[in-house]
Amino acid sequence: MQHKRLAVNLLLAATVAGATTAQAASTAELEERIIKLEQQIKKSDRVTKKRISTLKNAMENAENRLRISGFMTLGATKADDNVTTQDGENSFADEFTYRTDSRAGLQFDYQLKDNWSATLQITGKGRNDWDPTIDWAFLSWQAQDWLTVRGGRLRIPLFNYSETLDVGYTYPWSRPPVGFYITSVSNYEGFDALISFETGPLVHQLQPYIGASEGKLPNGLDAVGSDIYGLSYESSWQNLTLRLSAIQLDLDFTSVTLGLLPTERDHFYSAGLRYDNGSLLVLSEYSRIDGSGYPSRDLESAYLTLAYTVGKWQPYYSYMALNTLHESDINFLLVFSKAAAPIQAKSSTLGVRYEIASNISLKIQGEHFYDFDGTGGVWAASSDTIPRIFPDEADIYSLTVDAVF
Amino acid sequence: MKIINKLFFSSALLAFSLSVCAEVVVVVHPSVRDNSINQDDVAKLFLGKISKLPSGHKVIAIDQEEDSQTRNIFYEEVTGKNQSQLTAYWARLVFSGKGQPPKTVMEDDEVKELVANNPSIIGYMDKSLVDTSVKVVFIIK
Repeated sequence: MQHKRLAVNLLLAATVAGATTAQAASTAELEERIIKLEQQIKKSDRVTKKRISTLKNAMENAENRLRISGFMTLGATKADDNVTTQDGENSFADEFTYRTDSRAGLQFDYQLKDNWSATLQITGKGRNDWDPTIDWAFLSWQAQDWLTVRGGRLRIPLFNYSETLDVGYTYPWSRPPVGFYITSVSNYEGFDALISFETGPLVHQLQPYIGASEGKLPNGLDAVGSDIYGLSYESSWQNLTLRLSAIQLDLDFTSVTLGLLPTERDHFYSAGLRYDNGSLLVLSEYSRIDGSGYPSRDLESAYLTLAYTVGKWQPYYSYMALNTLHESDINFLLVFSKAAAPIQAKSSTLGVRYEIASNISLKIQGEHFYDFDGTGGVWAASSDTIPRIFPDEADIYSLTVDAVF
Repeated sequence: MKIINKLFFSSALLAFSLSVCAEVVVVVHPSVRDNSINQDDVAKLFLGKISKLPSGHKVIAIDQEEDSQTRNIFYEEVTGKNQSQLTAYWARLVFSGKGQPPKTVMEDDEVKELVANNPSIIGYMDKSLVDTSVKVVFIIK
C-alpha cells in the first residue's frame, strides 16, 4: 500500500516537474522570440526614420529644386472634307491624319531661391512639323502670400483653357471647340500678376496682364506686335466657378488700296461658368469680339458642354454657336473680305472619354458643323475671289490619347 | 451551427470589416493653435487654393502616394474628385505656371513622422495610427 502511494506521489512529482520544465522551456522560447521581434521592430523603425530624414533633407535639397513635368497627345483625325480654320491654325483632311492632333510638351520648373522660380515650357506639334516652340519662359516672384508677379513669355488667359490649349488632359473634349476657342494668337511677352483673396467661403483670383503679342487673329489677319492689356478673374465657391475676362488689343493694318489705316482697337470679352461635382460637369462660356467696326468684324459666340462621369467613362455633349454682330463698311468688305465678311456657324459635338490610368485618357469624338448659311462658317475659303468658294459644313472625327506626367 | 446561421454570421462579419476600413484624419503639429478646421478649408488647403489655417498659421500640405487607400478615401470624401479628376485639376495649374501639387511621401507612418517634427506641415493619415505626437484637426466620417 505504502509503495503504491509512494509510486503515485513520485509519478505525480515527475509529471509536475516534467510539465514545469516543459513550461519553462516554452517560456524561454517565447522570451527569445519576443526579443527577436523587438529587435526587428527597432531595426525597421531605424530604417523608416532614416528614410524620413532623407526625405526631409531632399525637400530642402538642390536636387529637389528642379521639377520636370510633361504632356503628350497622340491623335488620329479625319474630316469629311479638306478644310482649314480661318486663322490657318487647324487643317483637317478627308482621310485619317496623325499630325493634326498630335503634340508633346515638356516643362521645367526651377525653384531659384526664397520666392523666386523660373519656368520653361517647350512644345512640339505634329501640325507644325514637330518644330519645338517655347510657349512659356518666365520668372516668377511670390511677393506676398496673395501676390505673385510673373514676367517673360506667357500665354493669354482669355478663356477657361486658353493657357493650357495644348494639354488635352485638362479639358473634357478632344480639342477646344473649334470656332469658339482662339488658338492662333496665344503667346505674349510681358508681365502679369496673380492676386488671390478670399471673401468668406469664396476664393477669388485676379490676373491682370500687359504685353505685346503677335499671331493671326481668328479672322485670318495678322496681328504683329500688337499691344495687349487684359484682366481675367475667377471666383469659386464649392463646386461652382465663375470666370470673367477682358482684353484690349491695338492693331495696325496697311492695305495697298487704302494705305495705312488708323489703329484698330479690339476688345474681347468673355464670361464663363463651370459646375463640377465630380459626377456632373456643366461648362459654358460666352465670348464677344468687339472690333471698332472695321476691318475686323464683331463676333459673338458661346458654347455649352455637359459631361457625366460613370466610373472610368465620361460621355459628353457640346453645343456651340457663333455669328457676326454687324456688317462692315463695303470698302473694307472688298479689301478685307476674309476678315470682314459676316459668318455664322453652329456645331454639335458628341464624345466619350475613357480613363486608361489616372493620368492617361482616351477620347473618341465627332464634331458636327452646320447652319453656315452660305457664309463659310469656321472654315477659310478655298478661293479669295468673289464669289468665294467655301467648303462644305464638314464634320471632324477624332480619337485622341492624352497623357500628363 | 446550422448552415444558415454560419452564412449570416460570416456575412455580418464581412459587412462589419468592410465598414471598418481606414478612418482618415487630418493632422498637424501639436503646437498649432487651431483645434479644428472645416471640410471646405481642408479641401482648399490640399487643392492649393489657400496656404493658411484659420488662425493664420502657414502650412504646407503633403500627399501620400497615389496607390494609397488613405489618399483615395481622403480626396473622394473631402473634394469629391477621383485621382483622374485631381490630375486634370493640377495639370491645368502646373502647365499654366500657377502651382504645383503637394509633395508626396509614402504612407501613414511617414506623414506622422513629418507632421510630428514640423509645425508647418499638414497631412492626412489613418486614424488608428494617431498618437500624442500629432494633433487631429479634422475627421473624415
